[in-house]
Amino acid sequence: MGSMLFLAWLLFGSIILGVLAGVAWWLIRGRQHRLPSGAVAVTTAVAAGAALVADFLTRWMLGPSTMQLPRPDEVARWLIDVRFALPLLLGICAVIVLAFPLPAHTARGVADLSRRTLFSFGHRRWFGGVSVIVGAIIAVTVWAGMVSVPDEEGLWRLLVVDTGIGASFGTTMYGWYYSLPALALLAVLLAVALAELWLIARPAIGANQGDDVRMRRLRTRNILAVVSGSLLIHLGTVLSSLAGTAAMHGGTSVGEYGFATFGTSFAALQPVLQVAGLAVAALGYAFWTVVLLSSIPAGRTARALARA
Amino acid sequence: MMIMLAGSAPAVDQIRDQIRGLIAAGRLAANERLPSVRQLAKDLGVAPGTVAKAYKTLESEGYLHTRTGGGTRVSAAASATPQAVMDAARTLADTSIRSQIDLDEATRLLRAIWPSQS
Repeated sequence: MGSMLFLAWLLFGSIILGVLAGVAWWLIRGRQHRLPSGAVAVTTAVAAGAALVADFLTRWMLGPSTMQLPRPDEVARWLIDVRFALPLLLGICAVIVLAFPLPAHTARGVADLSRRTLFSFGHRRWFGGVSVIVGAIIAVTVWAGMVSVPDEEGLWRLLVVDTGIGASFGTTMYGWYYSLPALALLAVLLAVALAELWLIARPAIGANQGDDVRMRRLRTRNILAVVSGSLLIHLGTVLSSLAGTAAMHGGTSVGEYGFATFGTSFAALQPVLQVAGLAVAALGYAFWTVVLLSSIPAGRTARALARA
Repeated sequence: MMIMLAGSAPAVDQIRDQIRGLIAAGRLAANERLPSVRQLAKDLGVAPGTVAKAYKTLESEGYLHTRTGGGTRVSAAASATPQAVMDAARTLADTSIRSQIDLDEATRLLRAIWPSQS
């Protein structure tokens, strides 16, 4: 029982922490950010709910054999290869779903004299947050890419530790082989999100100005939250993988009776990377959870949470 | 800050007069950036040339100024309301509405925290 719980924690720890943090934040501060019932609330629930469920199922499929969701081996191999890119893929899908229903543009002889741009309906700190996460991802990616070397298949996903006494050992790591597709997906995610923010900002302000602006703010906030969540889960996955890489060590005989052990140059960072990976991914899931909860229309939240 | 087209007067005149009125009443702050010609024309359902003409007239009258890359802004000399004060007032209004505080209550609070002259 204890070992099962430990395995479950290893597999789903970040999701559990993230969902709990998201619900806690929602109960304390988030209820003022509820969407009105309607098509936008439905697409928001579908986008965030599907992303969370898909990510959960993926983790389950990749779990140890004692608690694994049945799946073909080819699927498991594919999932292992795309595990870094998967949060970004899910984020792209979720952001595309969030675009619906498309905001309508109807000229009605009335105009607001404020400029509407991509950034008009979001706080600066939301955009700043996304920029900081993107910066962190690029920094970690470039560092890991530069440390990686090609393996026997010529794919840049190997870390080699040279012992200096004629022996070397290596392990797979988050090198360019994994990071370049992820960076491409990151660019697509940002492009899709910016296009959608433009679609939200573009139409004329509706007859009920207050409600219209509030809805645009909520939609902008949810898009940026889904993007931030995807980026953080991706970064968390990368950091956890690098923690595993940092933990690699090996040994070799030295002289007639001696034995020497060797580790990676960043072995000391292993605990930090492990904790950071868990915390960063949990924060990402919290963002997705908050978006999902924002789709519960006013008045239903308390009853829904009481039933849960 | 809404402007509205109604009646039989030419759209150029209506746009020009309403923007001029908002500046004169201090509801548009000095250096406040106005929407692009394209955005305003689309919102009002008029040709971009109509808005461009209204902007041009207000520019020649000294109410607006246009800088390449900086868009069209209210002239500093045309409005006595500083942009920072206008932004703060709008934030106060937004926050009050969100907190369900009406105009009278918000005004009372502002008076209460206003530093005394003595």
